[in-house]
Amino acid sequence: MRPEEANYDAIVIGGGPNGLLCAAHLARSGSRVALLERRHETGGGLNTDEYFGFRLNLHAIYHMMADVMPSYRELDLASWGVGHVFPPAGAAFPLAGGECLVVTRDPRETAASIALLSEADASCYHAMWDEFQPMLERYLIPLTYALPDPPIDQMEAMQRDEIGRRLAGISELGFTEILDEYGFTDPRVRMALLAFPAMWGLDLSEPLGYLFPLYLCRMAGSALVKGGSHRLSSALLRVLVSCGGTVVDQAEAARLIIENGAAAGVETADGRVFRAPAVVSTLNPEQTFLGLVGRDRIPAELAERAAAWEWEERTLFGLHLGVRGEVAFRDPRAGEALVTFLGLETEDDLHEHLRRVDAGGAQEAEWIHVTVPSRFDPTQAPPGHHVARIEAVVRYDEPWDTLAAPFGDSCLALLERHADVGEIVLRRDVPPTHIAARLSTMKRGSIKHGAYTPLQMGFFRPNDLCSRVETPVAGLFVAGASVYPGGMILGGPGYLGAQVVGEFLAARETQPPGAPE
Amino acid sequence: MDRRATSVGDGEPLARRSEFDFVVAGAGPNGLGIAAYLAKWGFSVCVLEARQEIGGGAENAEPIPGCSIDPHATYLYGAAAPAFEQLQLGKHGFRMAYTKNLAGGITPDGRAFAHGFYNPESRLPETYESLMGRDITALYLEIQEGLRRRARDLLRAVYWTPPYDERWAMGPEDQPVLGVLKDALPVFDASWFGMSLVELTDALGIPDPLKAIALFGSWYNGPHPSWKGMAVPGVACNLLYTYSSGSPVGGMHSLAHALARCALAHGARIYVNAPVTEILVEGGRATGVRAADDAVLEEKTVRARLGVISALHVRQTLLDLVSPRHLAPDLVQNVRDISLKGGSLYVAHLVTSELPRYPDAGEAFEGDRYPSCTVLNASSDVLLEEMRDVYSFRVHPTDPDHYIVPICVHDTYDSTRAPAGLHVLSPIYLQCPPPEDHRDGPDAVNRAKDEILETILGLLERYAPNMTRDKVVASFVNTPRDSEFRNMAFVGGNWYGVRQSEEEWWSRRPLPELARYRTPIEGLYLCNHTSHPGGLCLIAVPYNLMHILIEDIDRVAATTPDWWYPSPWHISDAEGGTA
Repeated sequence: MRPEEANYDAIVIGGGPNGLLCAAHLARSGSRVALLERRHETGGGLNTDEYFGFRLNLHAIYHMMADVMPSYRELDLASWGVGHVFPPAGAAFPLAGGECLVVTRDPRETAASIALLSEADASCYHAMWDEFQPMLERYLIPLTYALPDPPIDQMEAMQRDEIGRRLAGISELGFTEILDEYGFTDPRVRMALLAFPAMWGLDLSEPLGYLFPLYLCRMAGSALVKGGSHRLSSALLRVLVSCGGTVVDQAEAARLIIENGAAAGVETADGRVFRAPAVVSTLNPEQTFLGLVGRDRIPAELAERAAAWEWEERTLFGLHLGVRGEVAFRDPRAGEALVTFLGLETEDDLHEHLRRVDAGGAQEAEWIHVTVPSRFDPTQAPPGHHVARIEAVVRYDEPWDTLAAPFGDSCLALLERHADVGEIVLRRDVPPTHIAARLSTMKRGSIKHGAYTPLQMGFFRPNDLCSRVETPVAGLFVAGASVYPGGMILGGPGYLGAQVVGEFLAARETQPPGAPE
Repeated sequence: MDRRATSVGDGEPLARRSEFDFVVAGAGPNGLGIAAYLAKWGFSVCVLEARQEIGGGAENAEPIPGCSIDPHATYLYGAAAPAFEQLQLGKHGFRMAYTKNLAGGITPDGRAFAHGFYNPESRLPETYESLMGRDITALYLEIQEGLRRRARDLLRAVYWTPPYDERWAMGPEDQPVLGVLKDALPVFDASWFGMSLVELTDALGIPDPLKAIALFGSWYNGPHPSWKGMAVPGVACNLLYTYSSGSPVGGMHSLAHALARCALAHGARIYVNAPVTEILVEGGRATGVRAADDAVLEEKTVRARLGVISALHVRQTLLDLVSPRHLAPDLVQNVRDISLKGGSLYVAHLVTSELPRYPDAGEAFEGDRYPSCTVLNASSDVLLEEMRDVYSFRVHPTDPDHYIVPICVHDTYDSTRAPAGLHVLSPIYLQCPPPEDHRDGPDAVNRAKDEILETILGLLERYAPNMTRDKVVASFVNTPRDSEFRNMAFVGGNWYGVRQSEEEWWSRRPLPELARYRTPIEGLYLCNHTSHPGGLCLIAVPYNLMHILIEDIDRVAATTPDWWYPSPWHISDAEGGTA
C-alpha cells in the first residue's frame, strides 16, 4: 500500500522542527499521522549539510531552550541520541581597547566582565538578572508552551505578583528603554546587551520588551546540538516513524481539500491525495491561507490578515568555512563563547550600523557574529580541522548575485582582524536569497517566517483568529513559526499544535455514531 | 492506542536499552537493509552510524538551493531486489523515476547512439543498424530479447543469491546460475566464465561503439573489462542498470530513507554520530560493540544477544574493530592484502543554465529521448588508453583524448532534482588510481582537481558547443580522497570495496573463507559492499545474509515470516556439504 492510500487522523504539512514536533507528539499519543515535506530531507531550519566531514549548520544553531523544552523529556529524545554541548560562555565581544566582554549563564561571571568596563553597569546587570530569572521561570518559559490569551487577559494574569507586574511593565518597552530602565550607561555594555535582539533582526525600539529576558538569559546559556542541528530533527523523525507515523518527502502540498465545510485532506503538487479529518499547516500564513486554502474559501477578514502579513525587514548573510588548522581568536576569551560578535564598539555604532543596513546598498560586512562549533564539538569537523559559521545582519533586497562573493570576503576579512584562520579548504557563501530558495516558508529570507512586531506577536501571531492553533476553517490547524510563540526552535508551535489537534481528534472519537461532524 | 509499545515487541522500555538481538555497525544501504529485514522479522535491532546522517553512499547533497547532486551512487540498479516486495518499501515512501532513455553515447568521430533496454521508443534497432550493420543488430537484439525474458531471474541468480563455498566439491560450472544463463542466452557457453569482457565482445563480434559502452558500463560498475573471468559479471552489470532504467524520485538518498523508515517502523533504533570503535569478542563470540567515547549514547557499550553485523569495509571490520588476538595471523594478512585497485572515482557536479545540446546526436537525443547518461568519447580505444593510465602508469589521465566521460542528468525526468531554469549535471565520473597507488603521491588528484575539471569542461564544450563557461553556474568536485574523508567505508576512495577481479569476486569476495558473510568469530557477520555482490545500492548483501542467518541462528529460522522467500538458487551448507 502506498502512503497516499492509507487512512490518517492527521496530516502535517512541513517537515521542519514544528511539523516534526507536532507529528511526533501526535503519533506518540496514538494518532495516525502523515507528514508531508516538500524537500528531499526533513528538518527545515534544523539543517546540517555535510561537505566532506565539515558539518555546516545552514540555519538554526543556537538552542536557547535545550534544558526546558518539554518535548525533550516527553519524547525522550535523549534516548534517541540527542545531546547538547554547552560552551563555557554564551557570547563574547572583543573590543578595540583590548577588553573583552563575556556573557555567561553565571550572572556573577558576566557582571565581573562588565565591571572591567563599568562598575556601575555591573551592579545594574545583577539587579536586572535578579528580576529576569523569576520572570523566566514563572512566566516566560511556561507561557512559551501554553496557548496565548488576549493581551488584556495576559496583562491581568501578570498582576498577581510583583515580578509579574514588573514583566508587564517592561513588556511595553523597547529594548533600549529596558537598558535605561535598569540604568545601564556604558555604551559598550549597552551595545553588547542589545546585540541579542539585533542579531535576530528585531527593531530595537519596538515595544517587545518581554522578549529581552528570553534573549539575554537564554542566549547566555545556549547550547549546540551535538553533531549538528540536524541531529535534533532526525531524532524527531525517528520518534515519529517508530510510533507508526508516515513521512512522505518530495511531497509539496498544493491544495487543501475541503468537504462539507471542513478540511478533509491535502492534494500534493504531483496530484497525490492524502486524506484526514485534521490538517496542520506549519507553512507561513500566505502559503497556508492564500495558497493551500485560497482566498475564496476563507472569511474575508482572514484573507485580509494573511495578505497583510509582514516579512522580516532584516535577514542574515552566512559564510561557512572549513578550515585546516585553527580558528584562533587573538583574545582567548573570545574563543570560549558560542557566539563571538565582531566589528562594533558602542551602542551608537550599533544603531548607525542598523540604519545603514536598512538604507540598503551594503558593500561590506560591518558587524558579524561568529560560531566555531567544532571548538566545542569536535565531531563537526574532521580531525585537525574546524568549521566556522559567520553571519551578518543584512537586507534581503541587495544585488546578492554579484554581492555575495565580495560580501563574504569582507566577512572573512573582519574575522581575520580578530583571529588567525588556518587554510580555508571549503567555503560556502549563503546569501539570504538562498535561504528563501531552500526553505520556501522563509519568504524574503524571513528566518522566523515573519516579522516580530507587536501586531504579529503573542496572541496576534499570526492573527487573533488563528494564534490558538485552530483556524476559521474547521479541521485546519496552524503550528509553524508564524504562529504563537514564534520561531527560533522554541518548539512552542509544534508542541501546542499537537495538544490542540489531539483534543480535536479525541473529541471526534467520543462523538456518538451518526452525530453530525 | 499507543502503537509504539506494540512495535517494540519485548515490552522493555526503549529509553535506556543497551542490549538488542542484533547490533549493526554502519547505516549505509547495506546496514539499513539488514536492519530493516531483521526488525521486520521481529528482532530488536540497533544501528550505529558514525556520520550525522544515514545513507552512506546512498546520498544526495544540495550545495545550492534546490539542486540535488549525487556525490556517490546515482542510478538505481536494484530493481530486481526482493527487498522492494519483502520490506514493502513503497509503503515507506519509496518511488522510482524512470527515464525513457537511460544512456546514449557519442564517439570521437561524431557518431551518436542511444543505448537502453526496456525502451522501444528509443528506436534502438534503427540506431544500431545505421552504426553497426544488420547482422550485429540482429545478434544484439537476440541477446536483448533473451535477457528481457529472464532478466529478473538472471539478476537474482547472480546478485541475490549467496555465493557458494569454494570448499564444496563443486565449481562455478556446477552452480545453478549456469542454468539460468543458458536458458536466457542461447549464445551462452561455459567458456564465458574464463573470459574477459573484451574477449567476449570480440568473440561475439560486437564492434564499437556498442563494445565501448559495454566495456564502460562494466568498468564503472565494477568488473574490469580486461580481466579474465570478468565477462559474466560484466554482462550482468550492463543488464543491471538497463533493467532498472532510472533513479529514485529525489535521488538515491530516498532509498536510504525508505529502508530506515521500514526499520524504524518495526522498532529498530538508529543512532547517528555514534561511530563503532570496537567489536567485543568474548569466548570466541561477538557479543556487542563499543561506541566512541564522544558518541551521543547513554551507554557506550551496546550488547548483541544474537549477532553483530558489520556494514563497514572488511578491512575496517577485521583489522580495526576486532582485536588481532581473536583472528588467525594468516587471515589478518589476507585481509591486509585485499586489493583496492580500481573504482576510485573523481566526481564532478555542474549546475548549468542549459542542458548540453549535442549537434552530432541530431534526432537521436530529441525530446524525451535525451539520454540521462551521455557518454562522451565513447570508444573502446579511448577507454583502453584511460585504463592504461589508471592501472599501468598509475596516474590519472591528463590528455582529454584519454578520458571517456559520462555526463549524467536526472532533472530531465525527475523535476525534484533541480529548480526551474537550472540543470544539474551530476555525477560526471572519471576513473582515477587509488590515492595510495598514485605515482605522484596520495594528494596528486586533489592537487589536479581544477585541472581535471577544466579538461571535463573543455571536452563537454567540444561535444556540446552551447556549453560555454557562462552556462556553468556552479561546480563541485569530490575526489577519491574527499570521498574517503566523508565515507570512511570507501577505503581509498574506492567504490567497489575490493578489486573486481577473478580473485576477489563472487565466491572469493572478499576472500574465499569470508564469502558467505561469516567471519571466524561466531556471531560476527559481514554486510558491506566488500562482500558479494558488492555495492550499487542493490540491497543484495542484506538479502543474501538473511539466508546465512537462517542457517546459523535457530531463532531466525524458527520465526521465518510468511513474507520471506529465499533465492531458489541458494545452496545451503547442508546441501553443499560443509554443514
